Amino acid sequence: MAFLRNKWFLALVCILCWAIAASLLSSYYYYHYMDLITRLERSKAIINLGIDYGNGTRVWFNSTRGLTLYDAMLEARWRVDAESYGTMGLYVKAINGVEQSAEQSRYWTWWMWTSLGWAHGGSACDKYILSNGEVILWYYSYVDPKTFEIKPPP
Amino acid sequence: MDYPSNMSNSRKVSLIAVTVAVSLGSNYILIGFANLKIMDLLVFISGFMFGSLIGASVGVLIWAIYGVLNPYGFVPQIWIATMLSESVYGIIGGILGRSLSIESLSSNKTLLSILFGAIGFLLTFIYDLATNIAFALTFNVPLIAALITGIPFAIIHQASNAILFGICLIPLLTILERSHRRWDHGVSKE
Repeated sequence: MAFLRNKWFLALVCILCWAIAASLLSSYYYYHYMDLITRLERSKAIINLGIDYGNGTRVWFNSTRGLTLYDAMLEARWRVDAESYGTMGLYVKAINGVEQSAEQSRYWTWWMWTSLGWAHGGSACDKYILSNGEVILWYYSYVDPKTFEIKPPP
Repeated sequence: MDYPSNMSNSRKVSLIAVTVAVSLGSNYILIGFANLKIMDLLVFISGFMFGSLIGASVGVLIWAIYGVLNPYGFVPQIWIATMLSESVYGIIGGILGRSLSIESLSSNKTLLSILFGAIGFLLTFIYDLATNIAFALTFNVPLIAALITGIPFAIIHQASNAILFGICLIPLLTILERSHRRWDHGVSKE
């Protein structure tokens, strides 16, 4: 067979095989990726997210979507400076340029609205899975340096 | 290779029967390994050595039995699709066998191995495509979904056939050709 002596022909056949295999694999992973994105999008909760800078300024971002509280904060386009503590999750040090202050004993804490009032969020924001209709507020809280008692939002 | 012209009908029938039996045996042995079969290689070899007609007959006959007596179930439409698709290995094997001489098998081993591996891959791609389309039409599954969900199985099938065709085809063809020549020689002496 004359074409066997032509190495370009063999190279072409091999490239064709590689192209088919690569196309098949990429379309398979693309399909699954899109499927996962659609499922995640459907499972995102819609919440009312607020931020209180502790100086009387409180801004609400209603109907914010997210899987976790951290997702919702990013969805609301907040600038979040956080440090990861592994499995314990993220520790938020600054939001929208307002940093925690050890001198003033002010730290960022998040609170959820309940029938009894504001309840302190018990976990890191990236570990908390949101449910539809929740009202969550980030508050630049004063923490008593002696008792570590956190002042809830007004 | 020009065996079909000087081969008696009884020998053709016995060759088809033996190849079908070997393929079926190997299929049942490898039943636990999805899409890993040496049947495609054997169908290709039968076409390569004894012509497209015998190759296609072997492919159709294997699936005629294996498709009916199959632990995964029997679906007539898919059965027909697999029979027809399997025969492609034999037909292409026959076409290649007519244009390749046994001398060229021993002289260009590396290049031929690559070519056979690529042919195995491409034929399996056609086979998988055809059978997945048949599956989608039979069970009213959207075609794209059927093709995409079949990709992992298709990739295993295509990769394993590319390796089998690339590595095993030339040694097997060489051995078969030698034994065939010896057998022919022995028969003519008698």
